[in-house]
Amino acid sequence: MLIASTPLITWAQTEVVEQIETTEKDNIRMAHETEEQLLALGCERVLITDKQTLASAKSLDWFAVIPVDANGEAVAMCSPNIVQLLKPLEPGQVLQAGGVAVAPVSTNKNSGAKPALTLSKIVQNILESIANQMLSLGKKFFTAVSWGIGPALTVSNFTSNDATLAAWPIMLGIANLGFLLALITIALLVTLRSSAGGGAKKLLPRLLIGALLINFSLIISGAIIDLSRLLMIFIVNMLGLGNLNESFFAHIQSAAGIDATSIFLTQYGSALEGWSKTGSLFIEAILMWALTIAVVIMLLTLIIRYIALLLLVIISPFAYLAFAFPGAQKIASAWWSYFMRYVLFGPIVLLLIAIAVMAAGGLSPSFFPKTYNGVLAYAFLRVAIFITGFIFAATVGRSAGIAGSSMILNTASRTGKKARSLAYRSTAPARNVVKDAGRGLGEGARSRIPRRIRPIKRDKNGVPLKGQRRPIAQSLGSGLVGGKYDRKQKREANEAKKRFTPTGSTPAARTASVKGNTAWNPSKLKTAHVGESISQDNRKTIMSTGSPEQKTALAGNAEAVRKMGSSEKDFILNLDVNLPTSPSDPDRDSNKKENSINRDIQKAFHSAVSKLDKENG
Amino acid sequence: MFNISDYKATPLGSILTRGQEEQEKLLEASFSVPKNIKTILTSAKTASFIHGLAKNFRLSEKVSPIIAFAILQITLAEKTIAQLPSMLSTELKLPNDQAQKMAKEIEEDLFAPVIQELEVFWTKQKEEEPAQKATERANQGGAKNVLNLKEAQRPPTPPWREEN
Repeated sequence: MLIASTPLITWAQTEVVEQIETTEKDNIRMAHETEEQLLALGCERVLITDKQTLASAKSLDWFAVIPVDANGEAVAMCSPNIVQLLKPLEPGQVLQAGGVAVAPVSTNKNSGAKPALTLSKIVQNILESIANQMLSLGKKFFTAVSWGIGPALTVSNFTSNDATLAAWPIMLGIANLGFLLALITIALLVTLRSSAGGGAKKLLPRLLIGALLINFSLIISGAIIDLSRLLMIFIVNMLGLGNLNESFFAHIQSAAGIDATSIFLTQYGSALEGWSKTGSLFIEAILMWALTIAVVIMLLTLIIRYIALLLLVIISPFAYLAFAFPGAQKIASAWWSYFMRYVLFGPIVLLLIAIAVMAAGGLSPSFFPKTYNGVLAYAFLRVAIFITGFIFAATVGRSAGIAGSSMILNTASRTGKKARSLAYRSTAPARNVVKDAGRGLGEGARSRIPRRIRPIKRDKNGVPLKGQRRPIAQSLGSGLVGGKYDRKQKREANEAKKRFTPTGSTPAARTASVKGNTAWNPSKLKTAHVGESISQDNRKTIMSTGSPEQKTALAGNAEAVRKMGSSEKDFILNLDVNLPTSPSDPDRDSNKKENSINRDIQKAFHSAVSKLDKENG
Repeated sequence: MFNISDYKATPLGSILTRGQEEQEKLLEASFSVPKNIKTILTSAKTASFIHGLAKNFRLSEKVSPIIAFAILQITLAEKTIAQLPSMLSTELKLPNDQAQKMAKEIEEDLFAPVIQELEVFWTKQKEEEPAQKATERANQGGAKNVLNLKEAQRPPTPPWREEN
């Protein structure tokens, strides 16, 4: 007969301890004796639900002794005297958790022989105790973590969170400053007539829309998150899972089947002795921890989602700023992509978890043999379904979120384009009125601006008219934004820019002089920096008196073509490519050569135009 | 400053809307066009005329390259002038009467001043066409060694024949 004073002995006994420990923790003892044996000693059977009797027994300093065959319903209440009677233990029979032999083991009163405490038994008892501790810890951990899944899924305070309420206004303020910068950048682009980021025509409407929407960034983010929460509630109701915060935990617990599996394993494993028992305890502990790890992974993923969404909501003003800022649209689309990904992650993961929970919960033990191995197989399968479902939900949920977000963003982009084109068409008359009024106003205002400040006059093709001084803005602008090319390229560009007058009395001599100008070397004339800087007069000189290589190089330079006016374009396209080449013609050979050169020039020009067209999209 | 959208509205510029191979083929074909006609194919005036035409028929300016390409095909004798209404109707999804009207305007305002020169060019093209097309078709069909005897140079006469 024995009573073990503190350590856990069987899984069923731990179940009983957990049920009564909140009120009677100090007075609990676990015995290796059956209930019948304890009652025979004078203990009384008290139901666990009978809290009043338990409390009164405690007030008398009675002990709640849990028999080895505890069924989870009752304990034996023993007086201190009985416990005292049981205490003088016969040495060397049972090992406590700390490895100290304190209790006799023998329950066979007929047997006179007392089993010896062998090294094997000592090790076995230590391992059993470790397994029991692992099991108990795993169960507690699983309970705590699985309780967190529901709240982590339903967490809603993204916009009303203290962190958001404190940080979002700061971000909004900074982003509003950024709008000022964006406005200045657009003004510079307009002054320098640059088309970077799509030009002012594209950027100004974006700036206005961004500046308006930035103030609603929190509301817009909140509305989208709420939409996903509505979807989650719909999924939960559709699958009949009850309330996410309360009953979802119970569903997870039940699907994991910890209680049912433990009872079965204890029931069928009670016959096991020695190392088999130790092994079975370890298997239970491993299964328990596998379940716990799966739930921990899921919880961590959901916590990451929460933190990511919170941060994204806080920095949402910058997404609208990036939308308006020249060349930063990629940042805006990245924000939207991440935001939609994490928003969609919730409903998708919930659906997958629900499916996993239902699949694991639906597995019936009746399909398995009523033996220890059969129950073990059942437990394995149930845990496997549960774990696979959870890991699948955590990983696939993420990919599905990514796919869903890109689908939504693409659809939104297409719809936006259609709406824009519709709006553009429908406002054509109004735009024309505004354009005409603007032109009138502009002409009036222009005459009142000092000559050196006002923009230079251009013809209808955008080519500056001759005899004008360079405006101050342009001079300043080219000085400020001159960083596109390196020093060598700038030098080449400046050399090519210099006015060059062909010398010589004959056309051949003049061509030779142009050909001899190293700044207009064909290889240099093909480069973007030279093409961009070479003046209209110099282009005309090259096209009229340059060598064939120089002409082809210049006509094929997209940057030079971009600057060409209609007269230059017409000159190139009207070069004669059909000079007479009949055998009777005296200039047959030179005409043939000329035709070939002119065709090459026109082909080069066409490929440059084609390149420009591709750039413009 | 070079204006791409205006250039695309000229018949020659409209080839930019086509694939690379077709662009090269059409550009090569445009070299054989007489100078006066080629000016029409590349002129900014033609682009304005096409823009105006689209506007008159309440079409978007975006369809200008389509009209320009139809004009180019007729100029290069790839299509006949009689096919113009049906081409416009199909490409622009215009009602038949509107397409007829547009074709008539193109014919009168664009082709009429150079019609004589055009007809000479078309006749010349038609004479060359069957032989060219036969070779092209054969080559497209996979044959690589078809010899067009009409275009091939006459082989030198052997000396004993000359003596005879």
